[in-house]
Amino acid sequence: MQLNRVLLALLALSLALSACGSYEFRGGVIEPPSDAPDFTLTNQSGQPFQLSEQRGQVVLLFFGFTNCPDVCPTALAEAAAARRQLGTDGEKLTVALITVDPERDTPERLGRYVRAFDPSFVGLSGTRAELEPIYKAYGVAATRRELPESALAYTIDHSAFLYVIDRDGQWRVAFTPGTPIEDMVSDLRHLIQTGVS
Amino acid sequence: MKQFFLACLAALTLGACGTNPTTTAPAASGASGSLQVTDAWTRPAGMGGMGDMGGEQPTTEGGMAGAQPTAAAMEGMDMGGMGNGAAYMTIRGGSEADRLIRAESDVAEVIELHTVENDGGVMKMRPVEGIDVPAGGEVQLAPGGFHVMLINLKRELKPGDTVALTLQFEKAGAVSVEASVREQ
Repeated sequence: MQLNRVLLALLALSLALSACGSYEFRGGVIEPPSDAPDFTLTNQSGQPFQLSEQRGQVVLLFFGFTNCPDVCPTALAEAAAARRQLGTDGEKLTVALITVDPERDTPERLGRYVRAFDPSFVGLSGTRAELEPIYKAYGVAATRRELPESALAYTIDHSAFLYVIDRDGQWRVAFTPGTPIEDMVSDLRHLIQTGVS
Repeated sequence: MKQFFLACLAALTLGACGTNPTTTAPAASGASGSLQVTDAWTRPAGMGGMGDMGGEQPTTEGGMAGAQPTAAAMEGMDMGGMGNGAAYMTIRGGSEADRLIRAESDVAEVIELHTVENDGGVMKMRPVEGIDVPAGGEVQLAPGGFHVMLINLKRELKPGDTVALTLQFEKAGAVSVEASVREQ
């Protein structure tokens, strides 16, 4: 009885808070916000890229691979369009592709691939041993599937969410494939303009 | 009356030869009841940035005038090619059901028909044997679904370029399409 009352009060409070002019995210909200799992990978120039060193930037993370002709270009083209629409706010956005195909995706190949969408995009690779824990931490499914009938030889079935990490390194929002660009722009702009607490 | 006919003829001619991606219908088929492919497009792919919109003239009807690889493209080749691309379009069925069984183009080394299944957020790309086109209906080749996959591109696809594709249908036979290169 006592517990129920507390729960009701909490529910009322959270409803009141959400109604009181707080920003309503359009993407899937990570609740409560948590520290985004940190990692260090290698960027397309062969330099280390550590997530926690990106504080001050909003980071949009996508897991994909360069032999992915449909889903990944769609997500990255949308990310590029969102970044353009953000205007000067876009400078506070770092978009990074983490490969799910480290056997084929060399830093050079990743670099060529991401630059075609936006010169600022980062392509991240590493060894399987480096990458597997990151997939796990972000809940990314990445399963190699042989395609004997295709010239590709194999594909990677993979989660196609775009993860948004705020300027404090908190994991805040996940966009599902097909999220309208204006929704992404709205959430990203809010996180960019909210700044570092 | 004669003028009216001339106007109609002009309209038809323009319609058939416009700069928008259009279908070259099989020669024997009638005006109505034949399969139609519209709005064929592909994303930019390859070395260059996407911002470079200027200076590139679309190639003419099936022409490969703009197909010489750039220096950058040549550079890309030894790294395992220019990567891959995907072509999208809308196919409207004619009076009988048909099936897209193959696509051909000299823009890529290999061309396959693929689909993508969204399995709870996990995207699974799979080759398909063919894409059914219902009679009088419509099938969309669009991001996140059916697409013509261009494997190992032989040249960079820049915004404003066009890509000549030949689609092979079970019944309608070969249908030529010009896909425009654009971002969305």
